[in-house]
Amino acid sequence: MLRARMRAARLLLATWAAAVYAFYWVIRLRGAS
Amino acid sequence: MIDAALLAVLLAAGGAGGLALLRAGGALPRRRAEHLLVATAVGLGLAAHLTLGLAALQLLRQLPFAVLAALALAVGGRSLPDAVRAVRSPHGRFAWVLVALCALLLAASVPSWFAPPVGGDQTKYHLAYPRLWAQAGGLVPTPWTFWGQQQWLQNFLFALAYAVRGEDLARLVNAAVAVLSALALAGLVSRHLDRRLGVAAGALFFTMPMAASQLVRCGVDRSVVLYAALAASAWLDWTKSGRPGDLRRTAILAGFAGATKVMGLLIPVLVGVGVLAALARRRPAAGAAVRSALAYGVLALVFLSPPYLRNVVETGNPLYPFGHGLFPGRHWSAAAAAYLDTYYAQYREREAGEQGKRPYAGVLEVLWFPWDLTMTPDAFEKGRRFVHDVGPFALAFAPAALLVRRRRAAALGILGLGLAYGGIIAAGAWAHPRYVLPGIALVLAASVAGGCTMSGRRLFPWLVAVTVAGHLVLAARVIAPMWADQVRVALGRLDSETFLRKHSARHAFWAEANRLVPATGLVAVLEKIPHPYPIERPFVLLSYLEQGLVEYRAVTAPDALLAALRGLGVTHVAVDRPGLDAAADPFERAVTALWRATVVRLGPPLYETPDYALYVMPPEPAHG
Repeated sequence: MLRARMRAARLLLATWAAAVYAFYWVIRLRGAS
Repeated sequence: MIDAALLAVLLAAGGAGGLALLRAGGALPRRRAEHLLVATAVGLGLAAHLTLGLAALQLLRQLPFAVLAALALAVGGRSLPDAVRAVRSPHGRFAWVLVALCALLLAASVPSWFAPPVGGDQTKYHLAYPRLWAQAGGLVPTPWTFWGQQQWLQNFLFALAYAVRGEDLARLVNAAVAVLSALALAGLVSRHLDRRLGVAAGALFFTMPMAASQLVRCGVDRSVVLYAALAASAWLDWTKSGRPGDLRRTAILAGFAGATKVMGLLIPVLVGVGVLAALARRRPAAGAAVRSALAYGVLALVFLSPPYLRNVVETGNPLYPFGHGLFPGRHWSAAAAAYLDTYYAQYREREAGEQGKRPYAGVLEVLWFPWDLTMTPDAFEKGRRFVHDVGPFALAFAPAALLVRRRRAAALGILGLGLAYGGIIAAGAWAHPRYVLPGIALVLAASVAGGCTMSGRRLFPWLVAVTVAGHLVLAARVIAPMWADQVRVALGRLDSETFLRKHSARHAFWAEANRLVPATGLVAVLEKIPHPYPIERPFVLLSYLEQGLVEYRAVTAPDALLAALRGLGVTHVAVDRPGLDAAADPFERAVTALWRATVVRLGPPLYETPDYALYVMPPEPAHG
């Protein structure tokens, strides 16, 4: 149970991190063009 | 070359002096590998405070500094080689790749240190007043502009550099503090979170575009990061060891952090809360707890106090001109304080408005700050592109710090300290990227542990490498605009004068104005935000944000302003021409109307550019 929760938390945080990177670079690249 | 040698002497003397002080106070870190960095930071802090003392005594000359350096080396120099030998170099190929990337950025910023400073607050006050004091051999009478009172620990290091050698050394000192701050952050992570992650944290911070901009422009924010990271590390040492020496070191470093700028005062306060929290958890005898708390408070106060004491002596207000309600000192008024608030509110509104946004209203809206700070930092203050960019790492991985299991208390302690600093500044003062830099640095440190826990040891180096590479691409855009010309100046193929004329409208004007105003003259500057760095003649700054020399609430007619100028002994008047049309509020509208009416009385300009004009003060009309 605990392991499943940890995995879910990791997945959530990884999604958040990926979203931040994606937004950040889309904004930077749009600004640069 | 001489500048580099003098920087080495300064760092060596600082390290020796710091070692001597920390050893005398029994406050050296337990690990010898940490001695050199902590001692150098403490030594530089001492050097700054001593420079303030020498400036107050009108002894800002080379000889006193030579004597102090010799004294420091005599007292603590013997243990310096051991401290240098004990420093541990990074482990592993990946760490060396990161170090090489940081070295690349540092090398790319070298030419900027040998070309004249252009842009930013450095020409407004960070370098302007230290240079002036060095030229005068000591502090000059104030008040004449409040920026002369906003001079802190690193500004006095700049004053030392100007007194000993000159501008290039001041720029080298700025870069040295920037490097030390990254090393301190790396040390914090490596000591308290994970030995293998220190270099990653240091590299992520050092290559951040905003941090890169601080390598090429002088400021004081990196000294806040330096002392905040070292204070946090010492505090965590003490929570584990309970050694009084660790607590004393915490207090000394937190004190220096408080001396770096007014907002830096939050560091001794927050670390003090951390000390009290640790005491509450440890539950020592009441007497011992009080002694520990008092020792921390008194030591921190001693090491933060010199620049504030200077302001008390000169104005009666340690924070002059801020905090007037709390410290109603001399040379300032409630009306001036209120107008300063209006100015900053307008500033926030204008900068946000240019990005199609508006300033935060209320604490709940400030919760968006981490997102806005990461995605659109230009909404807080426009600058050359990316100068306030903090990169995506901290926002992406700070939540993952909650996953950290190993050394969890330390990770959460660092994260909490960073969030508290950033949150209080953003909600209580100004949500501005540079102002929350120490908070960003501490959050970044905790995020490194979080990111590694979340992604695993295989993926993590790639994450760091990609992020650092992205930082460098953007940092290159920060450094690029003047880079080629800075290289030419550094190599002697372009003279400073031509460089300044090309890159700064202000310098282009003052280069000629300095020639037209005689050395015995006195030029009054009618400009809202004057940058006095290029002015080589005696000057008075008559911004309506000030009211020390001319109180525009009382002086409302051209004749009265001309009389006030004559009273000051003004021979020439320099005017910011676009500024004459400013009318953002009734007071500004009234003052700029007064300036326009006064300028008409001055006759044709002696010299003018599209941005500035220089006038000669007309003779006083004959009476009767």
